[in-house]
Amino acid sequence: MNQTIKSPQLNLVQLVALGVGVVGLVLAAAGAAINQEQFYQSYLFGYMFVLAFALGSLAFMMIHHLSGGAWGLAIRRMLESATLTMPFMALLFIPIGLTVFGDLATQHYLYEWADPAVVAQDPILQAKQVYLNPNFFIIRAIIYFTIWISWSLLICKWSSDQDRTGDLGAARWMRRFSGPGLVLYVLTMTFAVTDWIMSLSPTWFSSIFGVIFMVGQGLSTLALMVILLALLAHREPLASFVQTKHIHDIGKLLFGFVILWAYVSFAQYVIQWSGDLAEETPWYLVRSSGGWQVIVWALMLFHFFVPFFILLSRRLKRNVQSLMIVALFLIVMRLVDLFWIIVPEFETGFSWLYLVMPLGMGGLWLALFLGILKRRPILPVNDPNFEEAFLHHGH
Amino acid sequence: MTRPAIYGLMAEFDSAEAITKAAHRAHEEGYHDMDAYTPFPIEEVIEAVSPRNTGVPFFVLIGGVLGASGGFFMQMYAMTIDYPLNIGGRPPNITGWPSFIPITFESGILLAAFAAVISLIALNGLPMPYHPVFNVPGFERASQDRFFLCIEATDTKFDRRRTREFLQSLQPRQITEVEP
Repeated sequence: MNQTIKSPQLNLVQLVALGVGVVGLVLAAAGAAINQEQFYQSYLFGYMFVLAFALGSLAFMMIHHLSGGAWGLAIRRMLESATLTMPFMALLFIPIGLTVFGDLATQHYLYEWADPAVVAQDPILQAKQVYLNPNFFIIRAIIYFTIWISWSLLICKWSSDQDRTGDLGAARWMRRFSGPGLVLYVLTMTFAVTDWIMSLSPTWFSSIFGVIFMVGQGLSTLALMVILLALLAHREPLASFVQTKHIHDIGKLLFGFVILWAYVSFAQYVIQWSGDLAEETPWYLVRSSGGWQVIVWALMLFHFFVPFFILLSRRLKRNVQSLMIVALFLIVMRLVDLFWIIVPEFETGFSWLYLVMPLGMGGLWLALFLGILKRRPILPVNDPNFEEAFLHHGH
Repeated sequence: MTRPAIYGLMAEFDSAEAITKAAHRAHEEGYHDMDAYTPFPIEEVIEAVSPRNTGVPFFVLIGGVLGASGGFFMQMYAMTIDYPLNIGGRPPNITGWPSFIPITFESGILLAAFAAVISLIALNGLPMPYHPVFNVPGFERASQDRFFLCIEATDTKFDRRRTREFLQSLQPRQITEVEP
């Protein structure tokens, strides 16, 4: 019963992803030669898009170890495989980390607080230097990745132990680590987003900013899980385990995260709009003028209203194929949302690199992720809750 | 088919597995007007004996839409037509819409929740001071350790003799005719 998944479709997806990734890599290198500034800016955008799948999976994996539930058993190996890409994500972070040092810092392609000349003229940035300085920026990034990598490796290791030995202690260890892990996830995500995205406009601040990214990561991850289930749920050994109600549960979670995204995104807006303070409003003023207002309306309509009303349907949430179309659409909208949050900060305007980066990085990531997924048994059959979920058809 | 003078036929089972099987069999047999009485909710039994569409979601949607639009336009009317008031520089006209959204959201949730509870009670015909199933001897054990399946006489397939034979084939502890 302890089998890996075999699917020609999956192999094809992996091959195409690898192809797109390699072509993306070549184009990105060409882009870097043509315009370095746009290379780094689009790199950050693509990076945040891809990172969402790995980190969202880490969060859902830990939530599942605490909450239980058959829906989580159905996708646990997919979540685990996604978190195992974390060392790769740490590697991909290096170019972003490099921008705060030396020549790259004085060009301030990304972070103007890293440029001593800018800081020297700005008393606010001088006051913030205790936190926003290149060395501490790198130290913090190392701390985030250490936590993310060790948690994903530890939990996935215990999960593999459980597969081999059926040891009940493994489940206890995974649960024990998931509680503190979730607290650490929320803390590190809040600080990481503050460092990497919020500090692009170093005088602006919002305390819900990290939550907006976390919800976005949850949404990206759930959408990916829906797509994987649509590709794989009819194949053994998943076919004899995954039932319509598991799909329905994941569909409901997806629906919930669509609403949650609108809730937190609007919460940030309405607070800053009501406050009407000079240090807060510029962030929104930039993002609602000069053509960006079109994206604001598109986000309201297609990131919330359209998927909200579509996902109201119970029948659709129980049909994995139609749910997959909504999931693909939501992944595109995640790109649009991140684009709207990150890119208005840059003055260079649109470039083809903004398409190449998320596609190329996403392709490489997907190929790696599917490679890991194919190598590991697709169902945690030795989980103490597995038999119950399987026999009594629990949620 | 003669019009039976009873409410239905009640079969009593020992276990959750037995009634799950029985409910599925009755559903496959084509019975619609039936209900199960169990000490705890069993999802599969609910799916087998209940009508596909309970009607509640429709009322919840209506409640939500009415609540949200009612909340929004109430504030719109109060703040822009009835008594335009500039609060902290927030414009007393349509451009001030973001400040109306929290109330819109809350009133939408409120009316949707009301619609859910009220339509649930109304569609179930509650309050209901009398119900025939309580005429079945030992029915109080439905809240302890027995599982009951009642096929009601209103079902088009219901036939006193044949339905009894069908229920007998499910091997219940006993079958009782439910007095109306």
